[in-house]
Amino acid sequence: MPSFDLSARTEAPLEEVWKLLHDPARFPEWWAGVETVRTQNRGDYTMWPTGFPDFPMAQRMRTDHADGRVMISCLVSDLEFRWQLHADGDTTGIEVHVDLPETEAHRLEIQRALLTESINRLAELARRPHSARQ
Amino acid sequence: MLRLWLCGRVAGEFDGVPVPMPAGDRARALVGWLALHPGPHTRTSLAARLWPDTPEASARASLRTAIWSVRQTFSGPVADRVLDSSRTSIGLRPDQVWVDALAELPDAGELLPGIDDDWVHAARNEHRGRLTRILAEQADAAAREGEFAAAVALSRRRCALSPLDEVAHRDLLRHLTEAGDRAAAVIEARQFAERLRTELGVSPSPATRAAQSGLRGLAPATPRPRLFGRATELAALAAAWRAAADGAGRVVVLTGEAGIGKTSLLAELAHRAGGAGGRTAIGAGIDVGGETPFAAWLELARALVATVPPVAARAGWPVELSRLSPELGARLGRHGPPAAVAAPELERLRVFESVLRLVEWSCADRPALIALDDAHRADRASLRLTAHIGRRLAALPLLLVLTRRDRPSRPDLDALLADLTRRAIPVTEVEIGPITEASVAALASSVSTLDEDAVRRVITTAEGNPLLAVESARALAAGQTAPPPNLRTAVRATLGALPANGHLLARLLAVAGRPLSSTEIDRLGITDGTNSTEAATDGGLLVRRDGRLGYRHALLREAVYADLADTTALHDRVANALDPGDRAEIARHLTLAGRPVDAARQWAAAAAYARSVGALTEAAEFLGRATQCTPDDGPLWLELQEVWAWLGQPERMEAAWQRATALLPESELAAAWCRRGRQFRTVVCDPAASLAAYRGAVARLTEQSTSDVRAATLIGLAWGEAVAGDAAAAEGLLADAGEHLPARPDPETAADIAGIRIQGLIRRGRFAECAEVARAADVARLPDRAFAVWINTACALSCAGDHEAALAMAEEAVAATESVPVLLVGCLAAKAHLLARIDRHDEAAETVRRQRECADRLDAPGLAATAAHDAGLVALAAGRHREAADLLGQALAAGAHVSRPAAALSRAEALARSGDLDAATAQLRAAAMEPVGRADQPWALVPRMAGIQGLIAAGRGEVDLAMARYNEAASGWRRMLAAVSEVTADGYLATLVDLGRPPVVGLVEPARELTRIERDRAAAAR
Repeated sequence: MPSFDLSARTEAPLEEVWKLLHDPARFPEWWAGVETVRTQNRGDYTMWPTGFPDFPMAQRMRTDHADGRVMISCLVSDLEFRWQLHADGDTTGIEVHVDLPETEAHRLEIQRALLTESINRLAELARRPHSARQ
Repeated sequence: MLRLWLCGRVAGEFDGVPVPMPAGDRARALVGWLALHPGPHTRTSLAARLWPDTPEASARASLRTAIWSVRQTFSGPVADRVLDSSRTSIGLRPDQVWVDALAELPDAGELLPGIDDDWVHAARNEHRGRLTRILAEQADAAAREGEFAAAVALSRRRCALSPLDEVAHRDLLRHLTEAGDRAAAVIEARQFAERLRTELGVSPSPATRAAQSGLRGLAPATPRPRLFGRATELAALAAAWRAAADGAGRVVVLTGEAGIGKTSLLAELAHRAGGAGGRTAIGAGIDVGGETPFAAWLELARALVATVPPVAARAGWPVELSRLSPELGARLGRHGPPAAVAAPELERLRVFESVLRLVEWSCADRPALIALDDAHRADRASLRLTAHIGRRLAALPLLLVLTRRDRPSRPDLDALLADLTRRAIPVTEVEIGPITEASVAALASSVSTLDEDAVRRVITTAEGNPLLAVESARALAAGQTAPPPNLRTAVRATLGALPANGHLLARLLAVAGRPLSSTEIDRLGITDGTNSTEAATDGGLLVRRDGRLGYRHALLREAVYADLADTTALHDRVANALDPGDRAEIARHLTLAGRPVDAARQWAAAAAYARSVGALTEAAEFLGRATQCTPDDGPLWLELQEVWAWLGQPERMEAAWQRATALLPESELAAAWCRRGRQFRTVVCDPAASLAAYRGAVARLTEQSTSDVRAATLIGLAWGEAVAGDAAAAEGLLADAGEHLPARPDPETAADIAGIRIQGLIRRGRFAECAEVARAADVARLPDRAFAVWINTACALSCAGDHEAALAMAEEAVAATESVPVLLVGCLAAKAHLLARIDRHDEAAETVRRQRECADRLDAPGLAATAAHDAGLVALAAGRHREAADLLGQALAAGAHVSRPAAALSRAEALARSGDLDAATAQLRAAAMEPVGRADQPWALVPRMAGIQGLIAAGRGEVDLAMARYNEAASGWRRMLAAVSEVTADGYLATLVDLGRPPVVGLVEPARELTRIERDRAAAAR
């Protein structure tokens, strides 16, 4: 299965990243390619990709506990993103693992570019949490 | 149909019209014979039977005359319909005749009065025997159901039939005593003794004398054994009793090897405690392979209910005791079954609570000694209940005594004692060691007159073990030249000296594995049973204790059993004699008797009982044995898969389900799938799987499917749609189900339908409408249904913002569940939080205090932790921040079954508001590390965390940062305002499914949260 991993570090406490990852309504602020989001039930939400206002995509968010770190999986149709955070004092390490099905292998590099941009924006937004929406 | 009465009169009736009987003696005798033996008989045999002293030709001629007379008396149509006559045979057609003497409970009048044939005399004896047997069985059955007055009436009828029958008399005494009419029993005993004396010139047998003396509180027939060399141990026990009697309850454990004298010590202690005015009850663990749950405590409860003072009419626990056995509630004046509950765990907790209340009541008017003898043999459920009671005895005037062998180990008993010690319950272990040589000598001399050399040999052989000392002394006194080399040899010698029937009785008791009641002994059918019993008790092998006959010591029984070559027939006989309520025991004996089909039926019945008292492990074990006996019995596998579901063993559940569906006939599959759907509705709580199962049931409905199955399937589908599918479709399905239901469905079904309607309304956000449905539901006598209906409605009204109405519903719930603590705790939680919600904080605190007390009493750590959580939230709402932080910390540490991230955030808030900012910061980090599930309403966590960050920043004087945090939180809550109805309803059901309780405690109100944030922000700005 095609996949890739990315990581980043932010000078922000874990709670700031945690809030951004648990609030799909704020995904458009940092997740590249996500234009709008409507939240629904039990961690479900709908995402409209950038440039495709008529193409709603149902998403599901769930979390798990592993090795003391917070793990979040988002199923974006056929793609799966696993976010992991680990605290180091007042800084936070962010990792994301992305799995693509074989049929979507050709999107690997596009996704890598989008997620590289996203993880960096997430790290930056968490570092100055109140800069984007005051 | 010809109806014939032969008892007390000879009369007939055909289709309601009287039929004359022949006037002649021989013709009447012929009618009598034919009526008692329906079906054809050869004329030759009949002639010989009715005219035994007449030559055959004359007898046949007389028969012809008698037949002619009968035909003449019966009208033509009657004779044609009823008489089955040919040239060689004559008879009454069985399907055309009803005879009173063959009925289920025939009249006691004399059979065929006026006819003096030999065969009639024999028939009368047989009839009387059958009638007395029926009366005995029905009296016992009535007593088991707690219908003591009926038992006495039946027993009196039996005694009237056989006025000199000692067994019948003893049973009457027992039933009178059970009915609480001891005075009548004493009078009856006196009259019976007088009757025996005047009519037969004899005294009652020892067994009857024992029963009679028991009425007057005299010593039992077998005298209490003298103790030798136990002064130290007795002093320790007496001290423990005095301390307990003064109100400092405690536990004493008597430990020692087999035969060392634990039971004798216990008997002595009980004697002394009783003499000092205490109430005593002794039960014994019996490990015979079929472990009936709560068997030991059932024995104790029987002993306690026989002597406790009357219970207040409003007390609800006596009826709950009837879960163990209907007679218990009945003895306390509560007839009828307790209310049903759906979950075995609730059943178990209710059994625990009711027995605990009985124990508390038993020492309310005087100190009590409750003892579990041979605790190492006790069933698991009884040990768990003992632990439950042991944890609460420190403030009671109660001494709990356990006796146990020192080996082999019994880990759950060790764990019980370790747990009590850890909880600071005083536990004293008394090691019972060998007695001194001087004591052995005194003991041996008390058994028989022995010379010095014989006593010396007893001392050498016994090595300080009193049982071995007694057996050795008996052997030497019986003329043996040396003490037996081991107990088995000694027992063999004693057994060999018994008469044949005594020997048989000893073997049957060895096979039975426990002492038997006099009724059970009678059912063994041993000829001349009284003399057999006397011989065996005189020989020292058997003793009578508390009205039961058994081995003087378990080792003696084991020694006899070990010598039995073929036990099949003995097990068969014991199975037929045991109390029908002891199903697991009967099943075990039937299995060993090689009767697998009968055994399977009894194992299944034993499993049903185990389920009814919440003993699921035992239920699974019994059903497993049943399926071993009859592996192709589909319904048994269906039962088993359900028990595995309750036990949380999905793989075993599926395996049993596959076996069941492969074996069940097609016509029963729809019902089986329907049952599976209900499982997923209740125990497993998987709405999607439930829907799939109910759809499976629909696919298997046939023309033969009953209305019940069709209705249950549609109701189940409605629940699935209401909770996990198309909520709007639920009403239509319920309406369809109504087509298959009676106009007034049974209360359970009606309550189920109301519950589904409420859930469907909640799912659609139509909260206010729930109240009407709840009020129309008749759930007053169904506490678990009342819990669901009232509390769900309370939550729904809370969602709708009508907190006063919600509180009224919560109060209804509390009232409906007062007698069921395990349900009451949830109702109190709801009430407390609604009180807190409308700022009635003192009442909320009092309510939650009661909730905690109730949860603690139930001895369920999960419930106690959840109650601590609820108390923490109530304290937080009241502004008691430090208390809130402590309670929420306890709840999180103890694994409360609540939303952990939400609880962690609440604790962080409590810490922040109490000024402990560093602890609050650490708690926020911990909250972020908690896993987030569906029931945690994740959409609400983010703004809550931002709000608490605002509090911390404000507390540190970082006003700008605090404002930014508050703004962030407010922004999050505002986003939710638009979708509040949908989100709350969904979060509601997620909590219900994932956490198993209605979420009145966890309801999130975005508008209210926004107000709080704005208030905090304003405060920070000042």
